[in-house]
Amino acid sequence: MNPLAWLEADMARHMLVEIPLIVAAGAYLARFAPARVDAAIARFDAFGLTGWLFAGLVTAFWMIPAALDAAVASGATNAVKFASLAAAGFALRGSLRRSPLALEAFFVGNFTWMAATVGLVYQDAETRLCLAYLTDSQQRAGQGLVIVAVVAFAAWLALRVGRGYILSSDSAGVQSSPGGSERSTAIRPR
Amino acid sequence: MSAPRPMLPTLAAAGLVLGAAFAAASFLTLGFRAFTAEDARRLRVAEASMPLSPVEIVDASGQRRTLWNADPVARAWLVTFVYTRCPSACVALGSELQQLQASVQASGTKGVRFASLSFDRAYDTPAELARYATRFRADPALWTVGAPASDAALRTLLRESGVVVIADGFGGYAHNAAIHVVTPAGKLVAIFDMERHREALAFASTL
Repeated sequence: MNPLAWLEADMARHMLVEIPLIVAAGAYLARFAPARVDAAIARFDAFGLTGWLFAGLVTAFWMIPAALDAAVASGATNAVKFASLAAAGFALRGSLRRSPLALEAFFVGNFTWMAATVGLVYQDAETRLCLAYLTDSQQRAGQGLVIVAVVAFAAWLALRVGRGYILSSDSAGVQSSPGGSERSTAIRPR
Repeated sequence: MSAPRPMLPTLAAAGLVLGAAFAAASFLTLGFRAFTAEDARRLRVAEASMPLSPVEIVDASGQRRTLWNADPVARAWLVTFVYTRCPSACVALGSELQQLQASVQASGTKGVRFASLSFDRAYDTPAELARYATRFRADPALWTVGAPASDAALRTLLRESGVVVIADGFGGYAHNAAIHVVTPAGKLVAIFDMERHREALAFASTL
């Protein structure tokens, strides 16, 4: 069995391993994007709004049971899944450098409650929601989604604390990061 | 950068993203009405019948027949997909068809035929199909128990009807268990939950 088929043979592996890996791969690729690409995107991504919105909608879309079934059933749909999730990761990396705390809190919070709710629904469902997946695999995916929701929120918090954006009152940590000065001028009152 | 950043391009891009996501989700869920593939399949069939190719089957007596016009008096087929070793859903489907057959026999309803089609071609030989038919007292004149004659025919039938069969990890299968109403012209016109088998028969009798 090829690794992709193995990942997609189980709902929990599909949602909790494959999908996060694609997003992470997209974010990793963004490191190698030339500066002018980011500059071009930045024009349409003030405060990281577009990137966060895009990533939030794409991740929400691939939590719909019918979307998972469509991805398993059709190679073309699966290609769209890969492309959209990688693009979400790519966009998120750039947007993270532009977004103010409040905007991030909104989108991360939104993702957290949505993933947790979907996770609870998956655990509660008495029937199979996906034609391609068994009930026990759906249960595990549901439990995992709740964990992912919590981990995503904690990871974001840790990232922000790590950059001294939440706890420290001086803006040194922010200004040392690329784009930090831009953000501090735009968002933080001096 | 101290000049105020123009927000228009961002707002336009965000609007575009929102619109595209809305369109994609609406397309997938048939206008936010079906969030699972099974619900979408049933909605699609209810709104526009789904054509099924003629399928050659081998029945419980080992005879080859071609559905859906194998029986000149048939006006509608109530089709279920099964595998005869199935311990749960197919037993329920079997006993429900058995009840429906009894009510057709009692009321003398004309033109409704039943078909239990196996997707487990390797195991369900005519002998196994006959065992299944005997278990549910299937009257061969009313109720065809069979399996597609080739793997290709089976694949086509499953693909066209939107039935997905997966291994359940215990040597059996999980599949969308439902009652499919098919016309002699091979049009899949309705899909009913197993629990709504009476409605399925009532609907088929009107065709």
